[in-house]
Amino acid sequence: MSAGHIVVAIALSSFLWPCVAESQTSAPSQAEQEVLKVEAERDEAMQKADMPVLSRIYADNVIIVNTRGRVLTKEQRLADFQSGDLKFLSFDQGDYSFHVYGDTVILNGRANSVVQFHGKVNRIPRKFTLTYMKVNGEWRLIAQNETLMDQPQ
Amino acid sequence: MQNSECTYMRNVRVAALLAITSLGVICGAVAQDAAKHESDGEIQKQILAVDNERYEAMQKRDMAAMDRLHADGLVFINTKGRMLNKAEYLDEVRSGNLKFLSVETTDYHFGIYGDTVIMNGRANSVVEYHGVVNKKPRRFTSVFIKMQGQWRLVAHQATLIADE
Repeated sequence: MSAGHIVVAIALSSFLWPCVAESQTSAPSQAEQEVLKVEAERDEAMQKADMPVLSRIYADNVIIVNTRGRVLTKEQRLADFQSGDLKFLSFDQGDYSFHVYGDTVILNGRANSVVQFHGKVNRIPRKFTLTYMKVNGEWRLIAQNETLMDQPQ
Repeated sequence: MQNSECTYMRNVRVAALLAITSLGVICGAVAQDAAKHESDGEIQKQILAVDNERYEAMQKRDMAAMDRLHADGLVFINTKGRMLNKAEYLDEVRSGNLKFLSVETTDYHFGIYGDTVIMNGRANSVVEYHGVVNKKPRRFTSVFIKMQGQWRLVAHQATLIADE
């Protein structure tokens, strides 16, 4: 390799290095599509109580707030599905809006699903915020908060 | 022959100079990255400070601070399940429709993922919203993202705590 080649190689590596770091963020539309796909998987897994899929999607230290204002860990949420304490009697979720911040996506929506939780049936529509983050190339749910709509305060 | 040797030596010197400069740039960036790698405890302190600033700004109706502390894409879901964007939320504060009569937040849980932080807590604050006073305790989830060196609230949702 000539000295000229070395000059070009070093110059290129210096200039390309920051560009690689910047190109790691996905375009918003792509991130939205990817998160929507994962969310569809999660919806199906919740209805089937598919534990391996749920375990993959929920981050280990996910923070969940249910409609009763209770904080749940991943273990507690998965145990609810596994035991059948949390069951979907019907599933209806939509009205999504996305905000993409690099590898973090905020997904808001409305759920009209009928849910049975510890024997009690809940038909009240709810609003939710899901925070997804791309970790090692996979979108994982790191936070979830649900609130019943139009309830007396 | 002498000319070609001279050119060769000049190229070697330029290559060496560029190599040193590149190393300097890389080392500087690595050092900067290490400095950026703050402990979780340090990040928690920063988030708590920003959240306090936010409550102070709300109480004082300091709209400049409110604007700085909330991301343009803010999504705010209140205890009634109503979703507000940044303009709507700031307008509630500016107009006095949303007032904090007292502020008390506690029992925090944090999820720290680099420049994204999940802050979960319990609020016992007394809030007046459109003339109705709400003293009921609630759980909230706030998502903060560091943008150009400033932590900003990108999402917030609050849920009343049942059974209390």
